[in-house]
Amino acid sequence: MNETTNSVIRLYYQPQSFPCGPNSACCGPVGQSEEEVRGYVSALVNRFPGVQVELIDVSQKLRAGRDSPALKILNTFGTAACPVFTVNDEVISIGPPAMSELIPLLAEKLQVKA
Amino acid sequence: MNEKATNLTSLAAEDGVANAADAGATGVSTVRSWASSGTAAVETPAAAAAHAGFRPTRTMWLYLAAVVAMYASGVLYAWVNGLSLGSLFLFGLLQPPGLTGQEARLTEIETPLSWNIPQVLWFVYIKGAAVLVELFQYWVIGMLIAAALIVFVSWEKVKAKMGYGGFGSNLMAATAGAVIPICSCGIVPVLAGMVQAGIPLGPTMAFLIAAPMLNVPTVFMTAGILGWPMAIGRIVATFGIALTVGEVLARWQRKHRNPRRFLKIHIAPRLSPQLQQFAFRFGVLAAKHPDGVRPDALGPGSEAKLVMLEESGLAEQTPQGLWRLVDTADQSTSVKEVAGCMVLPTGQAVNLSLGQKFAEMFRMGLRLFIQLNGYLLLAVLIAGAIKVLLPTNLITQWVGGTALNSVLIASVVAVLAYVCTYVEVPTALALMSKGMGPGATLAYLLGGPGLSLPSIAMLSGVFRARVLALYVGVSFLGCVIAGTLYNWVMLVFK
Repeated sequence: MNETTNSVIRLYYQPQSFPCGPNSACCGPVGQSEEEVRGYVSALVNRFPGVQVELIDVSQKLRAGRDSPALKILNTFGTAACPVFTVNDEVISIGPPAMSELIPLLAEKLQVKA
Repeated sequence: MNEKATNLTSLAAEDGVANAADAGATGVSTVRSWASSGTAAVETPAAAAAHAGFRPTRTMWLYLAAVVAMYASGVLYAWVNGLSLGSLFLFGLLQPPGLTGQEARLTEIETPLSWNIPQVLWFVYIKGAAVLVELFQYWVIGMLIAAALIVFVSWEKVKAKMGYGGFGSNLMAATAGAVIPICSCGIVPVLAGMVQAGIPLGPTMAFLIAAPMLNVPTVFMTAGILGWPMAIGRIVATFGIALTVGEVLARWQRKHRNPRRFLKIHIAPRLSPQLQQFAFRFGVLAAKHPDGVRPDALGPGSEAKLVMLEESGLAEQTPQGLWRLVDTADQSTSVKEVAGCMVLPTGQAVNLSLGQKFAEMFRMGLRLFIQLNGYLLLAVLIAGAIKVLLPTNLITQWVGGTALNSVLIASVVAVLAYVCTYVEVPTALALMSKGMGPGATLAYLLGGPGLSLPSIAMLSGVFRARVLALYVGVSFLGCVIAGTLYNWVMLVFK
């Protein structure tokens, strides 16, 4: 496969938490579990081996320049918008994706075959 | 953790996993090592389950022990000194036996003020203990009724039926607020939780006004200690204020859909799965086209959905008829998540058998009781301090009698003083025993927990000026009107 090596896929996620206490159901859980994030990463690394994948925890301070496109989305929709996937600063997907739909979109942006 | 943005392929090499065929496993190990670095600890469900259930903290146990000790010392003091136990249990007064009529409601042992600080503190404590002995029974009954309402009624269903404002929804919201014990101290997270749950501002405000002003334990305490007319006056006035503010806000929101016209903070709402999917699709397009997106780019029927997003404060229409993401005007690089639990019980107990429901009710009552003992202690100590430290002539001069100015002054005092919910009844009792008039007492009971400078300051960071003015103005006027009317009614019926 002819992979684009200079591209960066950024995955903005929120670590899973239970706002109203451990295992509470009224307001949670919110965010992505470790397994979920692991699954996304695994799928991306498998499909686009030469591409850099960055994990960004949105509960921490973000970088104004690098993260601006995702920040706009996150400040509007809140962390319910996670995970957000961007390719080279362009927002590709908001919310939990169907990987079968996300991969072709990413491939198109990365200019590789789906 | 974002600073640790991870290049998986390079980390794979560091981990000694260089084979591209192991890329999947590489991803797994990378995430694990990064998570275990301590900067992004994610609690696993198993670990979370281990922490589930209510366990009183050490402070809660300390407060409980203090309440028991204070109650016992009040009874013991009266018994040892040959004071009337009947007056102690009925009126919270330490007085010699044999007094009847009006005298029995006013007379108390002398507590002279002096520079003997330990002696003054002792009197504050023991008079507070006397108040505790009287109100404890109402406190317990109130907790049990509050627990019954939590266990037997599904408040999630009540919440779902509130709809888009209007009198019925405001009434339902005010009733929910009036029966659920929520302290005024936690008003902002509750507000955030309600807006996030999609409840319009009218019912939200009706709930927020009623919740600290009125709840079951305090109604029982008011009725038991200050009499049923005062409790009824309190209920009627609270509903009057809550419904007025709720109705005005509901009308405003019907005119201006975007909640950002009323709220300073942005609270991302919880949308239905279908609408959320649409919102995210719109978000991706809008991120690419900051000037706006045509509705037809989102498929048929999207105009109505965009209006719903506008009502939720997520989208706005440009003068050119395009739709864009609302400008959060937020230059911060932190994602602000202003949210909180609405604290409405989920109604899970509705499916239990009757016996299980009663068992749950007692468990819940005990839990409420243990959690709230700190407030009880604070309340009776303040009441004791008022009884000992505040000169009677000052109270009678300023807020005694039935004149309008007494109600007005009581309302101002109530707003300036931060009287947390549960504290207002014992302190009102102390002020009444010093000569505070009935109307002024009602104004104090409403304004003390409902409106205070700290809560106004907190809400000024949430509401825009005119909403805050409506909230403060109607609440304050409501206290004055209710107090004045109460004075008038009491005069007529006496």
